[in-house]
Amino acid sequence: MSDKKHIDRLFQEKLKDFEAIPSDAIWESIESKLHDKKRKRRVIPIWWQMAGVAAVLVLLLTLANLVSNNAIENNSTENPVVGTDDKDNLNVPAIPSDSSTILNNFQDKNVVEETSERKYLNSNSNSIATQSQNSIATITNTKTNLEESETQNTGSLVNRGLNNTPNTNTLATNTKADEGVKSSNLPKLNQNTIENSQKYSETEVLIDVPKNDPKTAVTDIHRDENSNLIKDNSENNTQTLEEAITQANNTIEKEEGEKLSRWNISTNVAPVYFSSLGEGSSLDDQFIGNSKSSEINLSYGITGSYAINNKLKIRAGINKVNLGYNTNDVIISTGAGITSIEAFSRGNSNINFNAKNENTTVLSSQSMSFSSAPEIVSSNVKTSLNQEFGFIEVPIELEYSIINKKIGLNVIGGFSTLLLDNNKVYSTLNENRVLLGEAQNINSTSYSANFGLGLNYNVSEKIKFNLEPTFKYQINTFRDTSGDFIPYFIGFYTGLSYKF
Amino acid sequence: MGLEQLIEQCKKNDVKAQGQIYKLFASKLFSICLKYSGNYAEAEDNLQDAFVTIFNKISQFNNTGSFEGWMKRITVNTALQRYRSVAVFDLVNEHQIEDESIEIDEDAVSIDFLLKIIQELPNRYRMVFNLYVLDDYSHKDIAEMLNISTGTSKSNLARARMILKEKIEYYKANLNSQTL
Repeated sequence: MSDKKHIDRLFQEKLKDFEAIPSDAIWESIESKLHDKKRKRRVIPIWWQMAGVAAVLVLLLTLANLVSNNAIENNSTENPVVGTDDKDNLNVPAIPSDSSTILNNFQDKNVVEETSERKYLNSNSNSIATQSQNSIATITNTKTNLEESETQNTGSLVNRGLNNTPNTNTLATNTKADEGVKSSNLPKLNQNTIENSQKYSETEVLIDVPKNDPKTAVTDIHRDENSNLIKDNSENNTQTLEEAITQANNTIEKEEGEKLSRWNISTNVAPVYFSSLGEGSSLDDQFIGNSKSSEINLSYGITGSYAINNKLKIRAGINKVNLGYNTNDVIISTGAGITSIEAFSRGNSNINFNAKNENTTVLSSQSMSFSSAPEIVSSNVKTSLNQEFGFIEVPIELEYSIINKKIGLNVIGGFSTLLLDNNKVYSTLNENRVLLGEAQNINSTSYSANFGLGLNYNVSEKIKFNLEPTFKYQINTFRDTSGDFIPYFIGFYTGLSYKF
Repeated sequence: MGLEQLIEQCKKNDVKAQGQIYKLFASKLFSICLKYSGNYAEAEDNLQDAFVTIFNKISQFNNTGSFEGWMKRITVNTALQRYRSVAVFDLVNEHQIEDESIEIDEDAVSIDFLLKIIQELPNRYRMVFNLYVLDDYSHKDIAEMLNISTGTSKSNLARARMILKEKIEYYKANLNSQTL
């Protein structure tokens, strides 16, 4: 028995104080395993909620915009006149509503006054001056609102001016007394208009008869001065009114112009390049040190955007992304002779072999230095593992414009949700590609943080050409990765966008 | 900072304290991993899993026993779990053999060589040899841990010893022939 113990004791004594220092990478991955979980739990739900809200908003706005666009188009094509009427109705309450209603009132009054004046003049005076006035009155009837209001203003203000001057009253009574016939026609009209037209007619008469009375000459000058001043005022008023209306029209037209170009739809195609920031493997521990080569694949999709203001756009879309990379220096052995080493490497591998390749084992040529059975695999040739995966990408991004001219520059940031839709692992040997199975550690839903720089060229007012180099840092795409496997992909997105 | 304080900090999930605990014990635990594993990469993986378990379960450690012993048990258990997960593929000769006396000359074998030949043992032989010879478990315990009979445990140990002896002898013969 003492002999038997001998070999045990050899190992016991030799290995009693044996210690081995592991590589620093081990601690780093332990640390990330311990603390990443919590970060992920916190970070993802918050952005997921935000993205959800943003997606719903974009969807609603898109629908609302589509509906309203259709309505406007129908109106403008079928009833263009109605459309402009609507605009005027919209304009008026904004600024000059009071003045326009006043204007209408004035118009009404004016008509009454004019008609009364005409009746009076037609019936009572045969002078050439009154006839010409009559013709002028009929012309003014056909003139525009603004001019009518002008004449009307002067009319009413003239009355006031006359009331204020002390001499006119006496003159009025004088002229009344002289021409009593005139008053007989007046009762047909309203009380107010009687007064107005009476006074107005009196002044008209005064103009005709100034030479007879030296006193009236004085008042005439007064009247002229007043009316001139008043005319100036009224002209100023109408000018500002006109300006206000045109300004209001302009601003509304501008706003409508902006509203119409808030929406944007663009297509994109991009070569995408997948890689990892650190040295690691998504497939197996033993491949950490193996050389990896990335493939350039294709991404394509469509994006809609909404301009919140001149600088900021929110955009969402849907893309198809294909990614792939190769793990080189891999030995693939097929057959039933599974040794313990192979069994171990199989146990750790993230490859889910398909039925055809059940007996296949993948080994890193590097790890073979630790194995006892190089003869098993010596007959096999070094090959590479080709991993392919594809996603449906739903990006939600903000675009901030730095330069917005013929050539534009903007920065883009946001998140994408990646839905796995393709997952395959091939072995590539002498250009023969054999499907081995799929990776079992790719999450069906994962995310990416996106940072990009956008360049665009305005081909026309509606159409833009875009070039957007974008970096997408993948979050939560792989489980149980080995070493420092930090996946990302870079895409050079090119495409055309259309404003509407 | 004392070990107890470090443990307390670790219970609060303090990264710095975890780092210090790792620095203190990583090399000791890594030696266990190397003995129980089939290769270096696997040992690294085992160490990683063991430490993750240690820090996740550190609140369950009450300061009565040895902290190092507790961590070693977790490390061995991690290796055993790994072994069990691949045990389906573990094809070893189940034919039981008698225990026989194995002796060997102690000199001229390096630790690296011994470690290498342990790693090269079939999985279960390696488990049994490690548990019985290096970590003082009884055959009864080993039988329970690996879900085998005590007889199989004894038999596996004997086979492990034989393989190791042969390898050491072969190695020595080669060494002698080279020197001569």
